[in-house]
Amino acid sequence: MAEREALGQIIQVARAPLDEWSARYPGHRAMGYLCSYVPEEMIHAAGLTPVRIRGNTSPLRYVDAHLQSFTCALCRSTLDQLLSGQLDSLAGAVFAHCCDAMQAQADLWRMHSGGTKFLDVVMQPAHLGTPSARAYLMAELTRFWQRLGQIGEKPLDVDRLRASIALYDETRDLVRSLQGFRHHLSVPDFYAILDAGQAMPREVFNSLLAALVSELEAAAAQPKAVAGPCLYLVGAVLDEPRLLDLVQDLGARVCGDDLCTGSRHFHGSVGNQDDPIAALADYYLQRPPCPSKYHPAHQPGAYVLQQARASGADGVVFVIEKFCEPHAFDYALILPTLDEAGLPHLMLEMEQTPSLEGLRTRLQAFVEMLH
Amino acid sequence: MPGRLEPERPAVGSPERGAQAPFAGLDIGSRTIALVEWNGREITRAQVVDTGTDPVRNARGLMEGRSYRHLVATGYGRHLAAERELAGEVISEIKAYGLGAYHLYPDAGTVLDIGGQDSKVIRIGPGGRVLRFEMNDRCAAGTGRFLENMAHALGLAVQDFGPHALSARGAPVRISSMCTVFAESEVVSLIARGEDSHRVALGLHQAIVDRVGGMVRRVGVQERFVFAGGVALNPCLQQLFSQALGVDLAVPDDPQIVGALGAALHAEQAARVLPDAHAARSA
Repeated sequence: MAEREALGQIIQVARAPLDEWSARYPGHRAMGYLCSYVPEEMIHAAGLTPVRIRGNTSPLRYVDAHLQSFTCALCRSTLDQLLSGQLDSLAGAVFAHCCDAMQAQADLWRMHSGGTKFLDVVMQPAHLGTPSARAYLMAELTRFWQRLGQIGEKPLDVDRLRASIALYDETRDLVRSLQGFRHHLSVPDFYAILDAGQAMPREVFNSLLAALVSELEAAAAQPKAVAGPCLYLVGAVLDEPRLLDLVQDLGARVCGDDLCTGSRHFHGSVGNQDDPIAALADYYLQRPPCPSKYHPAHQPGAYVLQQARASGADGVVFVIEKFCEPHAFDYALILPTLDEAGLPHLMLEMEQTPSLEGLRTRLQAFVEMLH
Repeated sequence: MPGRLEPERPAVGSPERGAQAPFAGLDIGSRTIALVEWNGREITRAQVVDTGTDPVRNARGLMEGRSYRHLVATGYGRHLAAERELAGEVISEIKAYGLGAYHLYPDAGTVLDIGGQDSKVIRIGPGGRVLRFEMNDRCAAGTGRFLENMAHALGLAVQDFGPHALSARGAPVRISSMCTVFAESEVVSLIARGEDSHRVALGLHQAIVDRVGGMVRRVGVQERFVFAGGVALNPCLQQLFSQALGVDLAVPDDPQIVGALGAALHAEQAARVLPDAHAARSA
């Protein structure tokens, strides 16, 4: 069945280690990135393939010599991958200024990459609502674009950037369609598809995802009974896929999320303005911000409540990385709104190797509460 | 809404219904396994054994080959019990303690359960329904395992540890580390320095209350406040928690079986909703 074939091809690479990436996609040169504020379209238009560097649960061997234990698992795990040589095949890495830990991480990567790799930090503004934010961001994106011209596989070409934006917007459209079929996919499969979108060349991913969405549309003609409480997930990166297995095993569903590696990464559309750099700047300024950003019009509590309610969620699960300050601060801001609205919530504090049994007990008790 | 199981309610498993097998709840914890048999009206058997190194074998031993109309497992070993077909269903300890505490104290508002390797604070509403909870399972600090190790460091049996602390004359000796390993070394050093072991024991109890008390306050103290789990047997902790939280504690006669009781009560409710879904199982 084509659906299964497309799904299988997508899922098998969703969390594959990056040291196997070059062999899987000959002819592509991968550029790593660590944050959803990195403009993938620019990297793609420069002839490189943006690939998200994810944390994992492998034992950490090298990082303790360079990074404190009170740093989030994403920073610790990805730096360990760099130091152990697992990222050697990447052309480089691009950071965005989101939190202090990630900013410091960029400096550590510069020190430990041997001086031969491309490294950049796209200094996205923290305050997205000031009059100068747009002009500043356009200047910063222009700087990054020109820097890519020094190492890209292809000369910089604005038409190529427009084409890359169209390709990435096509993914966003497809993911939007996929959201309507959440209940036809298992919870782990749905998020594996989003993971794969950040790991595969987009040309390949879009064609597989389009095939999958067509098959799901055809299959959706048959009504599907859905059961079990529905959860809305909030958090940063979700680098522990076994958590999603637990949700599935416990008979719960996920009907929406605000995760950096989940739906937020594929939010909205950049669009086709004449000036593609202005289009990208507007996209980042208007997208629902992550907790490391501030926009006076964005109320985190009201936003999560509205999104969770709109998705039909029975409860909200915060999946927060231990030592992630931006998300911890937002969590405290969001709670009173959810409490006032009577929407149940649970906080799961994630570590690089979390205790699965403890997570299972908490999640099971929460799912039981919602029944 | 699952109502409280009133003793006077006509019972599904009452003797008048003949020799029907009882419902059962099995709580496989890190340190003990508790089994409660429930006939729909009263507890017909309750027993606790050490978990040991083979929890399935020890749980089977507790079940003595009996058949149950429906057996529900809870505790850390609940999934193992289901995999080995001892249990027809599993529920979380949080739900189980909520149901068990509500059955024993229908006006219960908060349940503190400190077991062998974790501690939980549960706010419950009508029917024992869980409204919110907090759970600490990161390390052994503030759990039964911590108490056991500290009693051992002072050369005491665990059941003597609480009375030993209560007989302290003077202020508790402050313990700076809550890490089970470091606290043990600290205790050894304090004793070697000539500190009174009663006051050291009191300091250790106070350290647990300080740590767990913070978690209780996050959930909120709603009376009646039920203290359950094996650690609730400790009289010094009963007294210190009561003082720290400013409430009278309700401690069940056998605080170790509250989770198994909740599981047994759930077994009856589940069997009533889905009478054919759960075949009787025997060990």
